[in-house]
Amino acid sequence: MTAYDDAVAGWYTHLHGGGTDTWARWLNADRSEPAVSAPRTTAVQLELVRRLGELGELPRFGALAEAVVATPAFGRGSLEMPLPWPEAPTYGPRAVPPEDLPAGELLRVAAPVLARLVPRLPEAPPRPAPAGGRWWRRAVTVTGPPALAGPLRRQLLAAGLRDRSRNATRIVLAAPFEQAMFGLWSVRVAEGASVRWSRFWQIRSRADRVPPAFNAARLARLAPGPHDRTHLVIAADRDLAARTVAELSGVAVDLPPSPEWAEVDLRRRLNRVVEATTDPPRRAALGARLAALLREHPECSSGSGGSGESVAPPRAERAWAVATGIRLADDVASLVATGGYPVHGNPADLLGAPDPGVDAPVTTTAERTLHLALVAVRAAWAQLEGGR
Amino acid sequence: MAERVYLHVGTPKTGTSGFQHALFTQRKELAAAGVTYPADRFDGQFLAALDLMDLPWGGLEREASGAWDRLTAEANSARGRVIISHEILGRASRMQVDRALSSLDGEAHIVVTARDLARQLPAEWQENVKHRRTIRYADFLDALRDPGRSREIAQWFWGVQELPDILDRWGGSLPPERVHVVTVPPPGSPRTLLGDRLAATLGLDAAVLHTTGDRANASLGVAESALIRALNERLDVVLPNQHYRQFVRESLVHQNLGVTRESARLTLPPDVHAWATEVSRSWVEVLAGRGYTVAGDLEELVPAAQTLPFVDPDHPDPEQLSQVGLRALAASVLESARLRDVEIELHEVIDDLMRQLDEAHLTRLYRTRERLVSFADSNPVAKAGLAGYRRLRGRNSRPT
Amino acid sequence: MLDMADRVFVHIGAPKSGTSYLQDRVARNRDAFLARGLSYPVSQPDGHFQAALDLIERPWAGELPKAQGAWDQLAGTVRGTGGDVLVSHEILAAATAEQVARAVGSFGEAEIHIVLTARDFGRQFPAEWQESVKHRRVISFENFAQQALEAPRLGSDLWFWQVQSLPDVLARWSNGLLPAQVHVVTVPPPGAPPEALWERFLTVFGLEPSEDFVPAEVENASLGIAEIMVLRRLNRKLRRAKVSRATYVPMVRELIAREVFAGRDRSPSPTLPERFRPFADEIADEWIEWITGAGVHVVGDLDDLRPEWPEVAGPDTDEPRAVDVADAAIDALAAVLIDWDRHNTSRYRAVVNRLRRRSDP
Repeated sequence: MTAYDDAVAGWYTHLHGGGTDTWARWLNADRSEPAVSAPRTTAVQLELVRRLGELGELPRFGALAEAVVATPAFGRGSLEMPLPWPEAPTYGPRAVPPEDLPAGELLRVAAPVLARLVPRLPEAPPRPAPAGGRWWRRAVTVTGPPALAGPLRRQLLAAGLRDRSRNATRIVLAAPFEQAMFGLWSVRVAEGASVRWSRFWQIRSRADRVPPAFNAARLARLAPGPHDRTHLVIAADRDLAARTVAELSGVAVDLPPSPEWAEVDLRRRLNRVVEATTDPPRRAALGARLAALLREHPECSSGSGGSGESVAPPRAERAWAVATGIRLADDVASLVATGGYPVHGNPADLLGAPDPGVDAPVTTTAERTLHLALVAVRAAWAQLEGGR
Repeated sequence: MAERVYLHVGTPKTGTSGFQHALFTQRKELAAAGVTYPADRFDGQFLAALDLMDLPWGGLEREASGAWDRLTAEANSARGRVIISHEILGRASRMQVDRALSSLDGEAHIVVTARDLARQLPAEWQENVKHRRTIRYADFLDALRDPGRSREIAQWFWGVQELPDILDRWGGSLPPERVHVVTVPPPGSPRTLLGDRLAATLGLDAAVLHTTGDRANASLGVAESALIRALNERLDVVLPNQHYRQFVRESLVHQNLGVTRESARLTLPPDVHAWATEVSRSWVEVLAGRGYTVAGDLEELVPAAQTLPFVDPDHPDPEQLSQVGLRALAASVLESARLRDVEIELHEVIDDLMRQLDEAHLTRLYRTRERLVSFADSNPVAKAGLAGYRRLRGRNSRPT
Repeated sequence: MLDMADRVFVHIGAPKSGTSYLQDRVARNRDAFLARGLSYPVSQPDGHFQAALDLIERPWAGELPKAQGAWDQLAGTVRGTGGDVLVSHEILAAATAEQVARAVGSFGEAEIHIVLTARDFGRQFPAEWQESVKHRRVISFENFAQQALEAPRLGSDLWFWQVQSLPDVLARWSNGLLPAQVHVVTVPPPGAPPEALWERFLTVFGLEPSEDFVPAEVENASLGIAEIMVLRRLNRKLRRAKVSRATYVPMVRELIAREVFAGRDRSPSPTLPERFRPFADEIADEWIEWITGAGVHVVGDLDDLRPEWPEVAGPDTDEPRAVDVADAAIDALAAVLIDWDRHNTSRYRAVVNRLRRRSDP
C-alpha cells in the first residue's frame, strides 16, 4: 500500500468512528494506524460519510459508513475522483477537495444508499377518508391541474359522492401556470417517473404543449349543463381552494401541503435508481415511504401549504412560461367577463406573485436535495436501528 | 471452470463492434474450438456491462437487470477460454472492477485495443452527433481539454479512452503480463492487421476476426457531420429516439451520406493536434513503464503528423453543405413517399380482411344481437328496457 | 322555385394578383353578400378550380379527367340562382376564344361582366416564376424571363402570356361585350393594406365596404431566392427519381413550400434582372395605353400597373447565398422528418382505430 492508500484508510477510520474532519484538516493532524480495512473507495463515498456524521450522532454509525463506501455511484457522471495529494499522477480525473464536491456527485451515491434503506421501512399509512357526504347522493365533478384535482376527486369519491351525472355540480380549478406545472411534475414523480425538472419543461415548451387540464377556460366551456352549475375556483391559495370545494360539495376535503421542490427531486432520483428493477406502482410505494419519512422529520417543514409552492421554471423556459401563464389567465378573464359562471377567488391571482421579496420563487438546486437526502438516510437508519 | 477469461474492456472506435459481431455470429464454431463467447442475444454482453456499472441507457437498462450474473454463470461453467468484450467496460469504477474480477473464475486477462488520440477525438465527436448531440466541434474539444473535466461529455470520453487510468483500474491487481495492449496500426496498414493482432492475443484463429468493414461506424465527412449536427438542433426533442434512430441514423447516415470522394475527412485543428500528441506521449511513457504485454507497438499510439488540412465542421463550406443538405432532403422525401405507399397498401389489406370478416360474422348470435338492438330502436318498451339495462350496468361499474 | 341570374360576374384572373385572398374573403362572407344580392356558389375547398379546368381543357398533371362535367354543373347552378352571381378562378384567363364563347353562352340570358384584377408587371413576373417552380419546374429566373420576353405576347404558346398578357386576356374575354361590362381592378402598390384591394373589388359589384364583411387572412406565399433555389434543385433530383404527383403535392408544395418556406423572410425576394426592366416598363406602358383606349371600366389607378423598381440593386435572383440555401434545405429536411414522424403515429392510430371499431359489437 502506498502512502496515499494509508492516508485514505486512516481518514476512513476517522470518519467511521464518527469523526467529521475534512480531508485537508485531517491530513495535517496526527494520524494513527488504520484500524478498519479500507475498501477501494473514493472521495465521493468518503465525503458522504463525513456529511452524514456532521449532522449528529447515530446508533451504529460505523455500519452505515460501511454501507455507504460499499455503494458504487449510480449512473453517469464523474469517474472516481482521487483525494488531493502532493504527488498526483499526470493522467486520470483531477483531484477535488472532497468538501468541494458538487451536490450532484454526492447524490449519485446518496440515492442508491436510500434505495437500499427505504424498502426496509414500514409502509406509509393511507390517509383516512374525509367525513361528510349528504344523505342524498350528490354528484360533484372536479377538473383542473392534476396535483389539485386528483386528491380532491379521490377524497370526494371516498366520501361516497358520485362523479358523473347530468346534474352534477362542476368545479373547474384554475391555478397559476408555473404552480400547476410543478404540481404536475410532483404527481408524475409520485407515480414513479424519473424525468428531470428541466427536461419536463423542455419537452412541453419545445412542442408548445400545454396540458389540457391546465386550461380552465376551456374546461369550463366544455362542461355540459348550465353555466351556473360550473364553478370556477381560482386555486392560487391551496387552503382557500380546498375550503371552497368543501363548501360546494359538503365534504370536508383538504389539500395536502405542496411538497418542496427538493423533496420531489429526491424522489425522482430514487425512481431513477430503481427504475431498471421495479415497476411504477412499486416505485410509487417506495416514494410514499420516503415522503412519510421526511414528513415526520422536523427539518423538512414542507413548503408553505397555504400559498402553494412557487417554483421557478428553468431559466431557458422562463419566456415560454410567462407567455403561457398570461395566455391562460387571459382566457380565464375572458370567460369570467362573459359571465354566467360562479367564480370563487380573484382571477388576477393567476398571474403569480408580483412582489419578488415576499413570494420569491424557490430556486431549484441540488444542494437542498442533498440535504434532504442526508436527513432521509439518517432518519431511515435511525428508524431501522431503533427498531432492533 | 474456465482456464482463462479475457476481458476486452476498450476502447470505443477501435473496431470493437465489428469484432463483437464476428464473435457473436461464430460463437458455435468457437465453442467447438474451446472458446466461449457467452451471449444469448447479440447485445447480451452490452446488457451485462450496463448491469455491472448500473448505467441507464435510454430504457434498455430494464432488460439488463441480472445480466452480469447470467454472464458470469455461463462463463464459469465453461471450459477452455472465455471472451467478454464491451468497450464501455473501460469506465467501470474500482468497486465495479472488483466485483467483476471476483465474480469470474479462471485466470483473468485484461485486453484493450487502443488507437491514437488524433483519430479518436474526431471519431468520438461524430459518434455524439449521430446520437442527437448538438455540441459544436470546438466546444467538444474545449470540454475535453478542460483539466477539471466539468462537463459530462468530458467525463464520459476520458472514462472510456484514458488508457493509463483504465488499465490502472482494471489491471491494478493483476501481474502486468496479463494486461494486453493491442495497438491499432496507422492508416495505410493492411486492413486485417488489427484483427490479426487481437486474434493472436486472444488465442484465436486470425480468420475469425476478419470483419467485412465496420458498417456501424461508417464515418461521415466534414459537411455531412455539420449537416447532422444542424439537423439535430432543429429536431430537438420533437422526434422520438426510436424514429431518429430509424430515420436519421439508418436511412440518412448509413444509406445516403457515406463518405464520398469529395467530402473532406475530419481531423484536428493544429493546436489540438499538438496537445493530443503531448498527452499521448505521456501515456506511452507510463504504459511502457508498467511492463504490459503489447501486440503491435506503443509508438503507434502517438499521433502521426497531420498531412490533411483541417476543415472546420463548425464553419462548413456553404456550397458543400447545401449540396449535402439537398441530397439528404431528396432522400427523405423519397423515403417518406415510399412509406405513404406502404400505408396505402396496408389499408387495402385491411379492406380485404374486413370483407372477409363480414362474411365470417354472419353467425346466428351476431345477427340476433343486431336484431335486438334494431328492434329497440323502433319499440319504445324495448328501448326503455335497454336503457334501464345500460343504467344498471353503469351503476355497478362505478368505483365505490 | 327556379330563379334566373341577372348578372354573372366572371372573375377571370390574373393569377398571382390576390385572387386567393379575394376568393377566400368572399367565401367567408357568403351571407353578407347574399344579403346584398350577390351569390358565390362554391361547394369545394378549391372553389371553382374544377369548373375552370374543365373549361380551359388543360391536362394539369392528370387532373383534367376528374374535372369533367364540372363547368356545365357550375353553369347550371349559376343559371338557376337569382340576383348577381360571382364565378371566380384565375386560370380562366387562359381560355381560348372558343372556350370563352362557350362559357359566356352557358349563362343563359344573364348579363355577363368580366372582372380582371391586375397587378404591376414587376411583381407578376417573379410570382409566376415562383409558381412554376412550385409546379416542379427547374428553370432559372433569368431563363424564365428571357423565354417570356422573347416570345410573342399575343396568341402565345407560353402559359405566362396566356394568363398575364392583359390585352390578350381582355380581348378574348370581352368579345361581344360592351366596355362597361369589362372591369379592370388594379392592385394597389406594395405596402398598401389588403383592405384597399378589397374595397376596389367591391366597387365592381356596386357595393360599399362595411363592417359586416369579416376580414380574411392574407397568406404570405412569397418565397425568398434561397428557398426557390432549394425547390428547383429538389425538383431536379425528384424528377430523376420519377416522383409522383401524389407525393410531390403534399410533401413539396404543401409542406416544404407552403408551411416551411412561405413568408420566412430569411433571404431576399426575387426581382427582375436589371437588363429586363426597360422592356417591362415598355410593356406596362403598352398595356395602360390599350386599356385607356378600350374604354373599359377601371377601378383603381392605372399607374398602379407600372412596376416599381428598387433603388438599390438587390442580389441576383439566381445567385442566393449558399449559406441561406443550406439553411433552408436543412429546415426543410427537419420538417419532412418531423412530418413523417407525426403522420406515422396518426396513421398507425388510424389503422388501429379502424380495427378497433370493427371489433366492437
